[in-house]
Amino acid sequence: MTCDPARPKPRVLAVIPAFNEEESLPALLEEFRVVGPSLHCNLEVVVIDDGSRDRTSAVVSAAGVRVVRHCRNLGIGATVQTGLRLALREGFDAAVQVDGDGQHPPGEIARLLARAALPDAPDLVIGSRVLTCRGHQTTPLRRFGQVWLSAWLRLVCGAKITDPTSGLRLYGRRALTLFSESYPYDFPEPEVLAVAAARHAVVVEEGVEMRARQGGRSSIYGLKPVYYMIKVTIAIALAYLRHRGRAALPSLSPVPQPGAFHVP
Amino acid sequence: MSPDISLAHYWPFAVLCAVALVAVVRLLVRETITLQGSISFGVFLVVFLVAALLPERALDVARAMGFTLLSNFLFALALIGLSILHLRGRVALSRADLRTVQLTQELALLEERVRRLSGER
Repeated sequence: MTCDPARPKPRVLAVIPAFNEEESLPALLEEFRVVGPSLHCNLEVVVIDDGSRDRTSAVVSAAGVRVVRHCRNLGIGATVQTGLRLALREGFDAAVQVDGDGQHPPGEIARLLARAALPDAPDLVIGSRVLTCRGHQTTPLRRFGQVWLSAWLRLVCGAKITDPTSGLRLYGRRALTLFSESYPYDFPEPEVLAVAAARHAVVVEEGVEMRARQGGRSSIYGLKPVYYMIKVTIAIALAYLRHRGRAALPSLSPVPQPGAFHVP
Repeated sequence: MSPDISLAHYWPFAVLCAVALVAVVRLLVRETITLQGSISFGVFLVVFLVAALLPERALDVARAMGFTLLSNFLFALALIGLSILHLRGRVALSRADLRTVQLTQELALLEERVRRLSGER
């Protein structure tokens, strides 16, 4: 990707995974409509509705935005992966994952795009709320979890990430190729970083501002944080071991023809 | 003192194994379970049935493996066998789950594509 004005703008797909987000999506999609044209890219938006029981798909269609609907709930990992597959198959240069709960202001995508355009051409750009310390910060308990996962990722994979649970991320084409094939399904964000480290992907962070969720409720509540920490800690080590022996990131595949589809 | 081992002591166990075996066969006939998915369970039940019908021979095997009582041997065998069968079941379930996820994703993408193509017409 490049910001060189002489070159054509990159095509970027904003992937918004959503489960029961009818409250927060209209405002978020309106923000995208306002901010989109100011970003230095050809931005398209798609909402992946993960089998919502509310009117999520209806409000997205009413806003004139593409919606892909899972017929049953698959979880956040599979939902993001559906968006990444769509981006890869339709020949996008990159995909940006933006949470459907309104935590991620679409304007912050500009920072990720600018970082992705730098000469080191990272495969994965993570939006980090820790680097800026601006905007909504997470609770002390969640912050402790972030610190633990950062330390664990560094110990196991050598990855230096300050905000491993951030869901605001930009995937370059090589990352799209990798994660379209293999993406963790359950609490995927930190695990993705372990996979990326094992496959020698270039992962960088960029400071961003985040907000409190604009509607709905987090999927991690009650005793789930305890399960989350145990599960993710084990999953990071397993993901790294599983992928370490495999080849480095696949070389860039040719951009497919629009409409080229593949059923496994 | 050698324990009194005969079929008379183990016939309820043999009947239970036989009933379970018949149940598995019925499931197979009704195509509720595949042969591939049930053959290991069937073999497991046959081994227990043979052990119940021929307890003297089973005791010889148990003693060769360090067990003094046949009941302990059968209990250990059941525990190990069921653990293996459970693990096999979990593997099959995980595979099926992954395939279901992939199929659901592909279905969602194809549906969206069909909707868009229909809208373009």
